[in-house]
Amino acid sequence: MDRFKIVQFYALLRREVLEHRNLFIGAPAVVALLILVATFWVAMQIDETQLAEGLSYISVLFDGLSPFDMAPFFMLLAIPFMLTLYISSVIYLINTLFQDRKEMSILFWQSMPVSNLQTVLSKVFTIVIVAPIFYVLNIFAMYLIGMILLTILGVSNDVDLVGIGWMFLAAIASLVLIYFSALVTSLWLLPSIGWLLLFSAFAKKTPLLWAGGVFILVGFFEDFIFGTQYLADWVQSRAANPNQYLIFEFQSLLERIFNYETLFGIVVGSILITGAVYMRRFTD
Amino acid sequence: MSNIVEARSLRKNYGNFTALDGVDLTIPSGAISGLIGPNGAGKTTTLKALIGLCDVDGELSVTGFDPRKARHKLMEDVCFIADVGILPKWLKVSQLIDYVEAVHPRFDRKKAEKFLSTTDIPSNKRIKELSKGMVTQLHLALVMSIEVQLLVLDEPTLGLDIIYRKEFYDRLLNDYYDGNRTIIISTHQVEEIETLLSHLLFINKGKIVLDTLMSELSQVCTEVLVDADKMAEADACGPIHVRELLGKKSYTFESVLKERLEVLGELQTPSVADLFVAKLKEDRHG
Amino acid sequence: MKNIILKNRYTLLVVTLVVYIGVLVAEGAITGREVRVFEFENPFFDFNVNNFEGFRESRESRVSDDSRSGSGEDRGENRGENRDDSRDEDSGDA
Repeated sequence: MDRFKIVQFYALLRREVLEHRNLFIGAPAVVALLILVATFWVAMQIDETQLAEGLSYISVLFDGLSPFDMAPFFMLLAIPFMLTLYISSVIYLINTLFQDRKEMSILFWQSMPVSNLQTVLSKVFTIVIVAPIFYVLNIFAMYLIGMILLTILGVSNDVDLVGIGWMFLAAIASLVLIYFSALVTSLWLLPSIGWLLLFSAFAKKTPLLWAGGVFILVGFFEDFIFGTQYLADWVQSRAANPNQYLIFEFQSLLERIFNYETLFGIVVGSILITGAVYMRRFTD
Repeated sequence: MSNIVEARSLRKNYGNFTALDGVDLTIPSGAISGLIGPNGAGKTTTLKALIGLCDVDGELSVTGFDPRKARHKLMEDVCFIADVGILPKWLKVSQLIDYVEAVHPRFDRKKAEKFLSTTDIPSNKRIKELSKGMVTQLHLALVMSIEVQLLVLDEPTLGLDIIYRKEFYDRLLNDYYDGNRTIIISTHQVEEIETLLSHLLFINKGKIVLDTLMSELSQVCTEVLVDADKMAEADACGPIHVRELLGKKSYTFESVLKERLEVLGELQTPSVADLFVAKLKEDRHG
Repeated sequence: MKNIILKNRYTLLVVTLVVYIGVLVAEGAITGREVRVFEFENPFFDFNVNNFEGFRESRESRVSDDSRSGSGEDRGENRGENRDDSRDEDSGDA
């Protein structure tokens, strides 16, 4: 790939982030703020002696332990961010190829020498690779502020916070787990990404209704024509276990990506994304 | 002179409505072509087809590319301005320039900034905060900073006041057109552009009804102010349009020998606007 | 053929969905797909904060077991392994 193509693709990604900064930067910032405020409020309700004991316990808990071993404990805090990312992703994907047709700016975007393939791939890349980076940065900011507040609380309650540095390192290590959880989940959910993009490019109105309605209809269609329910079984298998969406150990990362179900899902997702690329030519 | 656009039998239907009904057109390189027609004639559909924004049936070649197969390659050599308002409203002016600079290999940022410095457009404003005229100025500044063979303008001055409209065409001719670039302008405001054009295309109900170089217009079309005693003879020559003018009648003829018409009265070349009306009314009356 | 598929957005959507359903039905028929919930084992969901030391010891012993026997086998996290086992069972039943 020549340098110009890389610069072009980067400009496409930058455009996506600028256009949807509320979803990628604003939303996780609000979640981080809510968690910090809630935690601080809870801390203020606790009796001072209990607070001092709790802070001492926390500071000793992580002391001397490997941050990578302790990182998974912070995955609980990641859950509200992951949920926010999934909701933001659905909003983004269902609107992204629809909105610029609705406001006719597609005539400008397509007047530039950027192919439909580049455009659609930039949107997939934004959700799979780029958006989680912003979420992780917000979580990092939350951890940093949290650590500062914890230190202030500890000092004001005369607690020796020797292990707080280790806890912070474990929190930072968890950010890598969180990022790869999001990445692996995006690959797992590539069929959903493709489905939403396809209907975002297709619908003239209410793309979400189209996406949901047709999804239900194709299930009935398969049963009616073939007498089978493979589609429903497949979807249910992929959606059922929330454990699939979080990685708690680095060792399981490659297994989560390079297994038959994920790879088959990538093939199916690619079919739908290809449909979205061709659908983009219909600008009305 | 080579042709930059060649189209044969272009057809496009939107449901039961026929937008293009076998359009044939050829646009020579270096021309300023006016695609003129009433509302719903097929101007926008034709222009969108030329730049690959609309799938049509038929043969089509623009700068050597088929727009349906290689749109993004074609757009390295073609720029397009539609009606005012297609620039993305959420972008800031500076962000828009950054974007075009990154994605277009032939964009000259310094040129764009120089053009914009002669306007009142602030670089930190979002496009939705600009007036219609400013948005057009901005789009034109971007387009004039890109080195391309063909510029396609679809009703570019629609909804703008006279000052912005005049400035638009002044800039286009003085700062942009160099005799080598080709410009295609579609409009139904004929009077505005007739002095700019070197090539004239009339379109009505999805068909091209006139295709001529301006230099050949006088040989193709003639207007005659006919004396009262010659009207029967004038009717026999098959005029495309007749109108009352200061007590006399003005007849418009197409492809009729001047020698035959000289005896009827005073000859002149019709204005593009008058010819346009004449062709529309000819079409209406069959 | 390409002209028919790309005639309008509706034909393209129908073709995309037909390919999508076709691939899923074919894969389901070939592999004998059933609803299966993938159990990626997660010891952190069993964590008891009052028994932190015990948890740490059990993790250390599990990590050393994994490094002796190779990753994934005992934990059953690999979907491919689960599928291979189940396919053997199914063919046995058939």
